[in-house]
Amino acid sequence: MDRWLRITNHFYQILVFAYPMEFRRRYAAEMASVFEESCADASRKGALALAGLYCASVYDLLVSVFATHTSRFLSNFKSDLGLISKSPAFAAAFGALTGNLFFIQEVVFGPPFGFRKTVQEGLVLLGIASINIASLWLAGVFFSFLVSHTVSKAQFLLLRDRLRAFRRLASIGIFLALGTAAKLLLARQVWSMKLTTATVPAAGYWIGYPVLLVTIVLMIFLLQPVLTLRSSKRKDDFWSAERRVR
Amino acid sequence: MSRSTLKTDGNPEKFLPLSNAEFHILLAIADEERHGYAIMQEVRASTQGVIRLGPGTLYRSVQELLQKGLIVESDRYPAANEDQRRRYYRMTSVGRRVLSAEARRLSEVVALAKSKRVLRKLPT
Repeated sequence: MDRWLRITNHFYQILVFAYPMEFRRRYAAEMASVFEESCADASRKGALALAGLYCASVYDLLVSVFATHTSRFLSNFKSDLGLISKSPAFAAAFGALTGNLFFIQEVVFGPPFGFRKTVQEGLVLLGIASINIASLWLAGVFFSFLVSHTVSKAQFLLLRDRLRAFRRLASIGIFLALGTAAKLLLARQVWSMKLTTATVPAAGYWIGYPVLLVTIVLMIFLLQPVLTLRSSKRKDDFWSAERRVR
Repeated sequence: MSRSTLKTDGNPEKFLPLSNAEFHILLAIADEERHGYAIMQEVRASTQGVIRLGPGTLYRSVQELLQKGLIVESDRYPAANEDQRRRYYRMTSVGRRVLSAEARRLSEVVALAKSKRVLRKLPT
């Protein structure tokens, strides 16, 4: 019995990895301890009590993992929108992202919510949106790396939070695109269709549009100090961050 | 100013209603500080086994209560013969005010149920 308990305790510690990292770091050890004590108590009452405890624990874990991730997502999303709305550069980037999500929405819903289109056109729209979102995400990573090596720590901290917020929103877009692709693939229409050169845009279109989009967004990032007006007394002024720290 | 300090300046009514788990956790540590497993046992015993908190629900609620500033981690360390992973929690003064506000709210609900003849006699 002791060996079985050790195995299930280890298994529970593995399952705890499903929680968000911050939660896990803080509570995983305590949760494992509570689970072990519960198991030890239940094992004294018999195998049936232990089986009941396992079922209850798995159910509790599934529900609480879902609830923890959902509340974390909503809280991040709320703060992300707050951060992004304070900066014209990020608002512009967010606009570009939303524009791409519109492509995905078109493919997901179709008529009557979207325009009438063939499966081929849907795939093309989805492909363009995915590449654009991925480009924006990568641009966020690159810009984060760039500013970490070029600006002061105070300025970087301010930008870092905004870039993280932007990347998280872009990640949602990537997940949406993947989900939509899965939906199209499961619909089986994709397998039987024939892609013709007429329905697929030229390679320049696939590369040119994302490059243009990322360039515009990065240009706006670089123009951030001008757009936030250095003379203004806004609390989130990029340049005043360093002064406040001093 | 920390998040909990910001919230504690306000009215305890702002925290209401508490979730079922949060209310019972606060009740469990109302008389003395307890660690996670002791809280689980106390909740189970005080509700005659009706409410059984799992580790996930327990620590999710503990996290919420800590963030709201209703409980704090105690300075007490586990004894040498105890599991060293244990952490003790105690209620703050705000937590106590919120708990009594919630108990008052629930008693008003019971009174309303009685006035509507839904509950004729309180269980003894």
